[in-house]
Amino acid sequence: MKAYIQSAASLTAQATLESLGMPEEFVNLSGVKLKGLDPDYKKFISPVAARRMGRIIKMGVASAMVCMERANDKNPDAIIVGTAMGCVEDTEDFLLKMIDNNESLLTPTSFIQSTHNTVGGQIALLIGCNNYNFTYVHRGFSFESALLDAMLLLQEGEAEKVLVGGLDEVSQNHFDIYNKLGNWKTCSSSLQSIAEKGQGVLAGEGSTFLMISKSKDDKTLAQIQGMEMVYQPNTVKIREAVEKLLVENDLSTDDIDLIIPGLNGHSEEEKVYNEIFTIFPQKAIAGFKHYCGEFPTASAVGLYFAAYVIKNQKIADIAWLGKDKSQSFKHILLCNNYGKDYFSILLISQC
Amino acid sequence: MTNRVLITGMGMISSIGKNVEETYGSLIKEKSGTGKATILNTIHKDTFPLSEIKFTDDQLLTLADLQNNRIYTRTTCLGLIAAREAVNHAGLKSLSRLRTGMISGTTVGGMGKTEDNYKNYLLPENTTINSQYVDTHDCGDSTQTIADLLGYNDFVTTISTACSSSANAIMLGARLIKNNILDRVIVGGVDSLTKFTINGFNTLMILDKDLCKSFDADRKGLNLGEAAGFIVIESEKAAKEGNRTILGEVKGYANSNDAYHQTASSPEGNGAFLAMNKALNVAGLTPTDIDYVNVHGTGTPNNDLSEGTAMTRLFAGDYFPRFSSTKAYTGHTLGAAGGIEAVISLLTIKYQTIFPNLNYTTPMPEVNAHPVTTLITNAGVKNVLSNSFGFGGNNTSLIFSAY
Repeated sequence: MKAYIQSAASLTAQATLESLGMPEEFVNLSGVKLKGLDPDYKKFISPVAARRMGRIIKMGVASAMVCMERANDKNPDAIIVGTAMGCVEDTEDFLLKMIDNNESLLTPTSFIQSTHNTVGGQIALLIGCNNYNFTYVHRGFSFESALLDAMLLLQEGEAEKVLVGGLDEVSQNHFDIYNKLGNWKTCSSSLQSIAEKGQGVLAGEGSTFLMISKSKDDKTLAQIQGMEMVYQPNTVKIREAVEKLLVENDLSTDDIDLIIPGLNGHSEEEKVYNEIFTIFPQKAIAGFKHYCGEFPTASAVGLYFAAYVIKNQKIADIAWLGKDKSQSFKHILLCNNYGKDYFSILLISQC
Repeated sequence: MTNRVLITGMGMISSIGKNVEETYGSLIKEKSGTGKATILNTIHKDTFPLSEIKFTDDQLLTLADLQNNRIYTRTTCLGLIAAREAVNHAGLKSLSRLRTGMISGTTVGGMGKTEDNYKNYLLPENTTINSQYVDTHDCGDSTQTIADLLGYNDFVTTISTACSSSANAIMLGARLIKNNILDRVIVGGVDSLTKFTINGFNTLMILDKDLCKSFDADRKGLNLGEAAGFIVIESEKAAKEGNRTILGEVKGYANSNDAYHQTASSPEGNGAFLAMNKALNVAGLTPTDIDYVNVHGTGTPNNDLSEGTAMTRLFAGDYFPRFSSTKAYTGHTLGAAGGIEAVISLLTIKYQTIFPNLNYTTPMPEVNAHPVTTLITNAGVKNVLSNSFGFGGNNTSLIFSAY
C-alpha cells in the first residue's frame, strides 16, 4: 500500500514543532530524559480548555493542529492515532488518588482523560470531525498499525486524506518505575546518546502527526512506497521484508540513497540493524533518536524526518551518523526497533 | 470482486458462562450474571452490583491451561479462554500457510495487577521491582501474549477506543480480509473488572445501584462487567478450503465520531446515526433488511436516549426492527462489549432466538422505541445490527448476517 505525505509536524524535546524537518541545533541536551518541548499551547487550544487537559493531550492537539495548518486542511476523512501507553499522567493521577483516598473523594477529569482514545477524540471535537476515528495501542507497533489502517482507508477509497499520528509521554512516575527496571541509561548529553553505547536507552517522548493522501499536489513532501512490520525480527525475516519492499517497487539496493535506522545506543537492541547494514554496505546513515529519545511511537518522528529530507534534499549535520554522506535523496529506507520484539521498515521516496 | 468475510468460530466468557454453550443456556433462561461482587476487593461492592466472572485469578489460570511460570493478567486469562474456544470451534490449525492475525480491543489491559502493586513500584526503598508486573500493564500485553500462545501472529494489533474497542477490532479484521491482506483473523476483545474503572465510572455518576434498566424511562445507569468475546473470521476461500461450518458473515461495518463531548453522546445521536447508516451502505442493505438490533443500550440516561433517537431517525418509515440490549445479562463489559455481542448476535442467528431486554417496564417518554421483553423463538432473523459506542464520541455499528 502507498500514500503521499502532504504535511507533517512533530513535537519532540528539540525545536521540531516550528521546524520543517530535523533542526540544525539541539536545544535540549539532557542526557537523562528528553521531555517534549512545550510550545505556547494558547496558540492551539483555548486557555480554559488547556487548563483541564493532560499534557499528552495538549502535545497531541498542538502537533495535529500544526500538521493540518501545513496541509491547509482541517477536514480529514479519518483521524487515526497510535499510542502504546496512552495518557500516562492522567492514568497515574487517578490511580494514585484512588489508592491514597481508599476509593473515595475522586473527581472525573483524570479518569475521563485516561482513556486511550482521548487525543483522537479531542482532535475530532476541536475540528468537528464526524469521520472514522481509531486508536491503536500495540506497543512498538502502535504507530505502524495506525499508518497501515490509514493507507488501507486510502486503498479502499474510503478516504482521500487521513490524519495519522503517533504519541507517547514519559511522566515522572513512568520514568522512575522503568528506571528501577534498568530501562534507561544516562549519557553525557543527548547529542551523544547514540554514540555512547550502554544497556539502556535515553528516555524520550513526543507527538507526531502526518496528513497522508491518495493523490499528490504541489504540497506533497514524499511518498510512502511500502511498510513491513517484523515481529521478533531475525536476519531471515528482515532480509525477506527488505527484498519485498525493493521488488514491489522495482528497486535495487543501489537505488537506496539513505538509511535512517532508529539506533538508540542500546548495545543489545542495536544488533538488529546489523542485517540492514549488511544488505546495504557503505550507505549514508542518519539518525533521529538522539533528538527525541526512545519511546514506543518514535518511528513517527523518523517518518517526519524522512519526509522532510526528501522534500528539502538536505540533512542537518548533527543527524549524520558515520562518515558516508549522500547529496541527493530519492529513496530512503527508514527502519525502527522498539525493544527486541518490534521492528518496522518503511520505504519513502521522492515523487 | 472483494472477498466476503465469513465467521467460522466463536468463543466467549462472561458472568453468564465460561463458554458459548453456558452463555446460550443463561440467555434462553433470561438469567443475569449481575450481582454482588465476591472476587474483586472494592469498597463499592455492597453499593454497586457487578457482572463478575466467579473465578479467582488462580482459577482462571487453570481454566486457561496456563502454568504459573510467569505473570498472566486476569485480562490475558479471560482473553485466552475465549480466543482458544473460538479457534477450536473453527478448527483452525496454526501450522497453516494462510496468513492469520489477531486483533483485540481492550480498555484496561493489565490495570488489575497495576492497581494492586502501583504504590510498591514507587516506594523509594523498593529499589528493584518485578518487571513482569510492569510489562503486563499495557493494553498490548494481553493481545500479544494470546496471539503468541495460540501461534497466530502474522499480524497482531490492539485497539483501544473505549467501549467500541472490540467492535472496531472486528471491523479492522473484516477490512483486512476484504482487501486480501490476511486470510483469517481472530477478532474481538477483553476487559476485566478493576477498581480503576469502577471508581472512574462512579465519578461520572453513571453506575446504577440496582440492576440496569436499558431503554426504560427510569433507567439510572449501567452495571460494569468483565468478559472476553472473540470470533474467527476467514475469507470465503480459506473457509471453503478448511471445510468450515459457516456461522454467519460480517456484512457491514462503520465507525464514526459524534464530535460532541468527551464522555456524553449528542442528544440527536449524530455519531450513532452515521455509523448505523454507513454500515447499511457497506452491507448494501436498507433499514427494512435489519431484522434485529443488538443495541449498545448501557442503561445510562444519556446513551439510551441518544441511541433511541438515532434509531428513530434511521428507521424513519413504518418499519422499526425488534431490538434489545443484552447488557442486563453480562453487564457493560467495556472494551469486550462488541466482541461478546457479536457472539450473542450469532447465537440469535443460529438459534433464531431473540433474547429479551431484561428489567424493562416503562417506555422512555422522549422516543417511540420499545425493546423486546419476551423471548422470541423462530424469530426469522437474517441480518443483525450490533451497536457499540464509546467515550471520545466513538461509534461503531456492525452487521452480522446469516450465510
